[in-house]
Amino acid sequence: MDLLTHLAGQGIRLADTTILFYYLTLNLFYVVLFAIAIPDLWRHLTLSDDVDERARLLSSEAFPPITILVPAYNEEITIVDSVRALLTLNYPRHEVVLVNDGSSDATMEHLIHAYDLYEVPPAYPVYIRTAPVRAYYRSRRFSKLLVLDKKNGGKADSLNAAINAARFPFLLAVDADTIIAPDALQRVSRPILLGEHVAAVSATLRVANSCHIEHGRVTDARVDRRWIPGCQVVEYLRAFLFGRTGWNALGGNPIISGAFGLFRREYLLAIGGYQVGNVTEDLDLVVRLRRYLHDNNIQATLPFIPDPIAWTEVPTTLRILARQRERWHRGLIGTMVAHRDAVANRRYGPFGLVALPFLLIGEMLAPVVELLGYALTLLGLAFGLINWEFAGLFFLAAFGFGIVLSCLGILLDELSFRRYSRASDLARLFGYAIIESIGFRQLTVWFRLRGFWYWWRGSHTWGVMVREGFTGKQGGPQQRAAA
Amino acid sequence: MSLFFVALAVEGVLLTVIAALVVLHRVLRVRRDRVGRLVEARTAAGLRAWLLEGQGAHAYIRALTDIPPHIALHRLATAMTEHIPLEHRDELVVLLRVEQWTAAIARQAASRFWWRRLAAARLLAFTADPSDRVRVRRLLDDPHPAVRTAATRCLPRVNDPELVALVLDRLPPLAPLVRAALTVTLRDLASHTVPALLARLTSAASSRELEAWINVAEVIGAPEAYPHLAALAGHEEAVVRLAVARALKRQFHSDASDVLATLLSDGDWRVRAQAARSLGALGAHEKTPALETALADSAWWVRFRASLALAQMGEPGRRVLKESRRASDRMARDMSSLVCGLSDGSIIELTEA
Repeated sequence: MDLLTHLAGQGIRLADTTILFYYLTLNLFYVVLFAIAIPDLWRHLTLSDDVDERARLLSSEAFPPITILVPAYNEEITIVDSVRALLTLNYPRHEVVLVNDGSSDATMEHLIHAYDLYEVPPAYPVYIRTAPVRAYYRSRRFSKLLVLDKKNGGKADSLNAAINAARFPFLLAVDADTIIAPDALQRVSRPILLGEHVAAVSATLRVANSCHIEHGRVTDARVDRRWIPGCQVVEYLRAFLFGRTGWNALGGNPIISGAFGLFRREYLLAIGGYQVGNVTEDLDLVVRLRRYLHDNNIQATLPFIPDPIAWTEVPTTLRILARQRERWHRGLIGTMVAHRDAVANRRYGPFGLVALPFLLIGEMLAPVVELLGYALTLLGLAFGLINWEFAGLFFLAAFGFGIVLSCLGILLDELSFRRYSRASDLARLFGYAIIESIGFRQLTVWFRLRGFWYWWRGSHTWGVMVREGFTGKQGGPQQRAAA
Repeated sequence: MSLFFVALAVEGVLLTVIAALVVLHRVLRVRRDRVGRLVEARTAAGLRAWLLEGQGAHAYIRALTDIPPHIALHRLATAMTEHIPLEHRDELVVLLRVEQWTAAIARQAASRFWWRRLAAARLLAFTADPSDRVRVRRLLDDPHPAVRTAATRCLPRVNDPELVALVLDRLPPLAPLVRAALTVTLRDLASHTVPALLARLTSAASSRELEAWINVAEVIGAPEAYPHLAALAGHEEAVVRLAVARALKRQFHSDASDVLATLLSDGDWRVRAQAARSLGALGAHEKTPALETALADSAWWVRFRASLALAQMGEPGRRVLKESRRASDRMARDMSSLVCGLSDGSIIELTEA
């Protein structure tokens, strides 16, 4: 019996030590990302300071023409303001292609009324097959607006329909409820203007909940008082400010957010557009795009630019958050399984050797390792198989290091963009940095574990996502549903 | 002391340091903002006294001298872009050139660090004179693209034909959009650019070079370039013919539409589409039959551009479009219907985009 207890103790201690090292390695990797993000962040801040150059170029043909792709499903509350904000972006050459994906609410009626839409004949090329488009509309008030009314086929299908109808060589995929800063398109074009051959460009997403929004523009950035969106503010700061900036130096980002990403159209067409049925179409698209570039020996980059900003609404209830995180994780698992031959494959360079293994070990398996770590440590403590010191070290690595990393994200924002000007917001951010590591993340572990289960069952559903509208932001929340 | 307490202490210290840095930065920023507002008020007052009250630029220069050079440069660039009229700039430049802080920034043209060279290029864009030729040339050769782009903005002030020729020779390998950015400056220096350009627009040049230089000729729109462009319309490379088709939309020469009509039957659909577009831009009514034929082209973009060109031509073009809605060719019918259904604003926007 003593031998058995001894062996169990040794086993748990070994497993716990391995998990402890997993945490330390992963967190140290984030520290490395932080360190290498600083020069790149500073470089972009220096380059973005050249306001006179941008003003001069606005009147030239130097800025690349961009088509903004907007898939919309049941967006009646926000659609008119969102589209107006997109149409009035400070950019010399852009068009908006909005796809109403068979909404069951009054999205289409609102658009027709607000923008004086009239039907035009369906004389657009079809490069990618999609669900049938019922009608094409142009606006009498804004000639740069094209609206497609199609049968419901999902977000990826809507984006593909928009790609077919787009005229310009660069495509910006946004969510209908994303609020883009007025100068974001000018900023996101920077690598193209500097002569870099880019296949795609990603930019910063921030949390719009509780921000003051007027006419589709964020006029006052605030940190939500509610803990669920508040913790996500910290998460987004950490992920975008040093997570994604750091990846630039490691061969480029493995993820370009579907809510705000610029793509070269020819490459999207070459890979057949978005994959219908994939619940994280943005991740799948980037992996396929990178593989296509490598397979065809195309020297193109996918940089992340930190200063163009788009604001997005995040879940405010546990139920919605659970659905979102479960779907994200299910999509990640599906993508990793589909592209398993590229993981640790030298043929794909840094993407195959660093980014994909990171997605596998640091993201996909993270909830499993984390749950195991908590369970083994608590079991070990309960049965006296590990000592308090070891358990303390484990929780310091799991929680304490996470808090430090979140605070580094807050520091980086303070030193660079300083979006949150109030001291109360700053204090709240530090508070949420603690809650995010102790409480919030553990909840998302559970949600992400459910992703494994639903993936195993072959689920392809998005789930109903109830959000608050931006209109009447200072008043009571307006509920809407989006799939 | 156990490892746990060491790790706890390290994390505690790290968190305290981060929090202290954030608070310290916030405090310093509040103070800096307060000082910045005072400085801004002084520079604005100096600018007002100079531009509106005719008191000379000395007060404005003094206000700029009192702030850190990188902030002064930013303020100066913004004021030059947004507030200071062209006729007042030379007066300011004379005063700025004797200032120590501007001299220090200009010397950074030889710095090892790209951001310092960028600052030098940005300043010289406003203050350079012919004596800065060597500096500007060095910046034009800079390995950093942002520095090179900023350096081209110095060209109008240096006013040196040799540097203009140098920029022209460097254009071809650059990405099209970078070329477009540099061409904006070359357009402002047309008196130097056009002779250098004409000397280069010959069939001896490579197709890549010709494409870049024809684009410059398009932006400048110099009538002297027409014979050279017309001669290149029969070039064997499609990219050159495409560039010619695009450039001809700004050549209001009596024969330009004939050249474009020929390009409308080119073997490359991109050339045909561009030729149709340029015919529309020129308002070449006499080429309506050729555009009507192009409505049944096998390429969607050619049909699209031909129908838009017809819509641009007023009544004769519209009549052709209306008749084509009943044409036997389905593709011509669909495209005519599409364009006939567009509002005038949409047509203007689509033809320009």
